[in-house]
Amino acid sequence: MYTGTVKQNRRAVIFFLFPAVAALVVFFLLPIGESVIMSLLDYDPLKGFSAIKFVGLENFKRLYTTKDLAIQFRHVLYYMVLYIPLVLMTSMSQALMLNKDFAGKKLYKILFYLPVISSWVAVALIWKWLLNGKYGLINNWLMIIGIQGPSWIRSQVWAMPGVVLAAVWKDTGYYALILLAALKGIDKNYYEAARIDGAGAWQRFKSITMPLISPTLFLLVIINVINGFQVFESIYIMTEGGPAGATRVPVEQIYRNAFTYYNMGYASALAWALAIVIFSVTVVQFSFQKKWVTYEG
Amino acid sequence: MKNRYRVLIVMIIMCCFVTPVFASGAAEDDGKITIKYNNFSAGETNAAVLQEMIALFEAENPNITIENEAMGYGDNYWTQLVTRIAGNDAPDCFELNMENFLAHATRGSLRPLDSLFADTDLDKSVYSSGLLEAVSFDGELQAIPLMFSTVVLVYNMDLFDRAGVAYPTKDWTWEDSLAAAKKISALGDDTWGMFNPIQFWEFYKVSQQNGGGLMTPDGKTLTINSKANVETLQYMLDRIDVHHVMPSMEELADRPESDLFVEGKLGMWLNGVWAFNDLQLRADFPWGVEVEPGNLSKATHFFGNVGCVSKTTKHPEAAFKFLNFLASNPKAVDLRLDAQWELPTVSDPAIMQRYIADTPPENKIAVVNSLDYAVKPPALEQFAELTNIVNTKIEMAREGLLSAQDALDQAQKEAEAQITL
Repeated sequence: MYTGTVKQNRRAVIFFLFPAVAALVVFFLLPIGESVIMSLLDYDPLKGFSAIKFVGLENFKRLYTTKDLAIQFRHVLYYMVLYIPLVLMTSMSQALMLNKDFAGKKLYKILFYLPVISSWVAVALIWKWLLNGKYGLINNWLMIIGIQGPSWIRSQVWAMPGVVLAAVWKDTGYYALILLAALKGIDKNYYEAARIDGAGAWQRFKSITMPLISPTLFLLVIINVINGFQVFESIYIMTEGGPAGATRVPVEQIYRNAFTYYNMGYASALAWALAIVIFSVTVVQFSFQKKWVTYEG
Repeated sequence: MKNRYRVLIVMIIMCCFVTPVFASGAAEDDGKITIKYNNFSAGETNAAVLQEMIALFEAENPNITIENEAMGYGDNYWTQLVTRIAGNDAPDCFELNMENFLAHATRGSLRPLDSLFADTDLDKSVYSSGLLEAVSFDGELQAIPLMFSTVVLVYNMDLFDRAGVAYPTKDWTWEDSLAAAKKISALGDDTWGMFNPIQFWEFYKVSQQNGGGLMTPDGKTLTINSKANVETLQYMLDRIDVHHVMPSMEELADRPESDLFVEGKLGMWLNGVWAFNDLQLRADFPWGVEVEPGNLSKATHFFGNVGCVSKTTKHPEAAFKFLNFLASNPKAVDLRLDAQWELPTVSDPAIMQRYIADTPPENKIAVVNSLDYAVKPPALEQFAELTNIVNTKIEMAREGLLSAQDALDQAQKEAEAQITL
């Protein structure tokens, strides 16, 4: 039982929150604030502070003239259109399976979560071989059913689907775990009542499971859209933006401008433009949530 | 009130645990100096060699301790270095490759070294003059050349014998190498005459073999889509699409070219001296090297890693002394030669003689002869942007999305819009 006074309580809150808040301010809020300032400057880190020039909104104006940026946003949309439905479907099926009892469930739980804790470098190495056009396992399997597989990450058309396959394999376990928690939170009485009323498995899934986990699904869609716009690591490791720029994405452009071209100002403007796009899309998503998200009670 | 102070003190103490992250600079006590050396080229292979060099230096200079900040090439080396320089936490000295050296030198971020040579008893004439010229910018020496390597034509003598083709000579042209490649490719389905990647760096060099180049000699006009350059790119593409002497990316199927060569499936391969160690261990057939064939003239790749002294170091003399030790101290040179960690930059012909005598490959003198035709990348502040523009278009031509002419026309247009000469 807590016995402290309000004053002591406040002190304890300050004491325990301070390290986290200090880290948040130093490592997140200050750099974010700094990037706003930097986006208004012509700043080359190798030239030093003396060469910094204030350019106003010039870096933002440049965004309109960067032809590649529109193409990169198209790539990112292509990635999300493929990735989000696929990862939600696979993680939902995994969660539904894990919500039932079966022999070897504990071992399966460990195995299906392993890709989540694996590093992208290791995952990319495995998937580059799986997707190898000539010797890859995926194409060998396709061959069995009479399909001549593409050259995946070496192909302009198939490189992005190849990256998506690897990303889905890696991320499914994480999202399945979140969905499993949502499934566990559904009161069993709903199913019991539906069964008595003669509802079949599909009807129970459609009318009970889906509405009751819709807030979690909404959260996952939001997270995935935000992450989708910021996709970089997986693509950079697997294709380096190739072949011939077919998998270049906006964050790669930010990285390239900051650390290859040393255009910190323009890179910051790009980062802010991306943040605004993500924020706008998230606001739109929230405004549509009433149409499909059900909150219990 | 007292309690409030206590909370404040605890907070300050906690801050002290966080702030060492931002601490920088060399520790010093009683005249002892610590020099931070940020480097990438030793990697795992030569980590012990570098450590041995450092130990030798420290033994000779007991007042200087070297903090070896070794990283791998792919471990965000460049990103962390730039961030540290920008954050005023630069290492005392650091290693750069030629491409990044030019990026730093054109931005004036390096400490010029001529005055340090003048102030110390170190002699810059121990280094090859061509290499000293390569590390000079605006008339001042900006770095110490630590090591260099040239790219040569590596060939499988067995495949040449089986195809009935005479081994390459230094007078070979594109025509000779293509004729040989055709005969070697005819030996089997997955046997290839040659492999030269189709990308910016290769194009940049091969175009100069054909009298082309990316810019006019005065560096004032871009010439990416010149007739000579279009012909060059077409020749590079034809090796895959028309003559079938080189595997396409699909046919290569992510196999490293080194594997293809070691498996006896590749007749000719352009690679740097850094590949020799691996080939000595893995290739069970005789192999030789020759200066890369040219067309109207010869042009070869030269790569070098240089040691730079930070502009902000408190101990430029010690850092300078250490870099010179790594590059030219006879014991360090011996260690480099023993490990075949690229080539030492000292001009002593006896040292090069020792390197050449260590075979395979056959005809190792080609490594040195290639230096005569070495081409350097242009010293351009926006070189990285130019590389990206041209490389993307070349890759599009490689993928069959654009013709050679269209690819270079588009590259020229984009470069003109984005690059300031």
